[in-house]
Amino acid sequence: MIFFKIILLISIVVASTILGILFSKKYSNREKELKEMKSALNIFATKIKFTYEPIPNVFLEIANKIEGNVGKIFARASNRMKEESAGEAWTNAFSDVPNNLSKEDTTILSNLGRMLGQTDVEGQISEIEVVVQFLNTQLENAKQEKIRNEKMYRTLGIVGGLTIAIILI
Amino acid sequence: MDISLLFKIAAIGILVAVLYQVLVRAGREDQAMMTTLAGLIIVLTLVIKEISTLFTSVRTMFGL
Repeated sequence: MIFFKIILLISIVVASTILGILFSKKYSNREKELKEMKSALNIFATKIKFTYEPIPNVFLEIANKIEGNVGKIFARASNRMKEESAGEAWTNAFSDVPNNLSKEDTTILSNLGRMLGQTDVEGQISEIEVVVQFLNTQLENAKQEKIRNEKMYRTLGIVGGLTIAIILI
Repeated sequence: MDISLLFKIAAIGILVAVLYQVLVRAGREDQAMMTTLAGLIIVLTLVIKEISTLFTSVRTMFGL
C-alpha cells in the first residue's frame, strides 16, 4: 500500500514538472518560429522579385528550406492553393497547422494574405516588408517574454508538483 | 496528534515561500498573493481538526 502511494506521488511530481517544461518551451518555440517566419518571408520577397514563379511553387520551395511548423504552414498553404485563392489558402493554413505563434502574430500574418496575388510585385514586396518590420518588434517582445516566463513556468511546475505531493502524503 | 502534521505544514510553508518569490520575480504580484492565500487556506484545513479537539478538551476540562 505504502509502495503504491510513493509511486503515485512521484508520478504526480514528474507529471507536473513535465507540464511546466512544456509550458516554458512554448516561449522559446514562439521566438524560434518568429525568426523562421521572418527568414521565410525574406525568401518569399526575393523569389517574387527575381523569379516570376507562381506563388504555390514558391511556397513549396520555402517549405522545403524552412523546417518546423513554419515550413508546414507554407506547405499547407501551397497545398490549399489548388482549390482556394491565394489569400484564403494562406489565412486558413494558420488554423490548420498547430503553431506557437500568438494571436496577434497570426492576425498580422494572415492580413498579408489579403494582398497575396491581388497587387503587382512592388505592392506585395512592400507589404511583406511591412510584415517583416512588425515581426521584428514581435521578436523583441517574444524575447522579453521568454526571459520573464520561461524560468517561472519551469519552477512553477516543479514546486507545484511538490506542493500537491506533500499535501497528499 | 501526529508529529508528521508539523513537518507537512513546514514543507508547505517553504514551498509557498519559493512560489511567492518566483512569481514576484516574474512580475505577477497578484498571482503571488493568491498562492500565499491558497497556502494559508490549505494549512488551515489541515489544522482545523486539531483546533476543534483543543476546544472540546478545554470545554470538557472546565465542564462547560
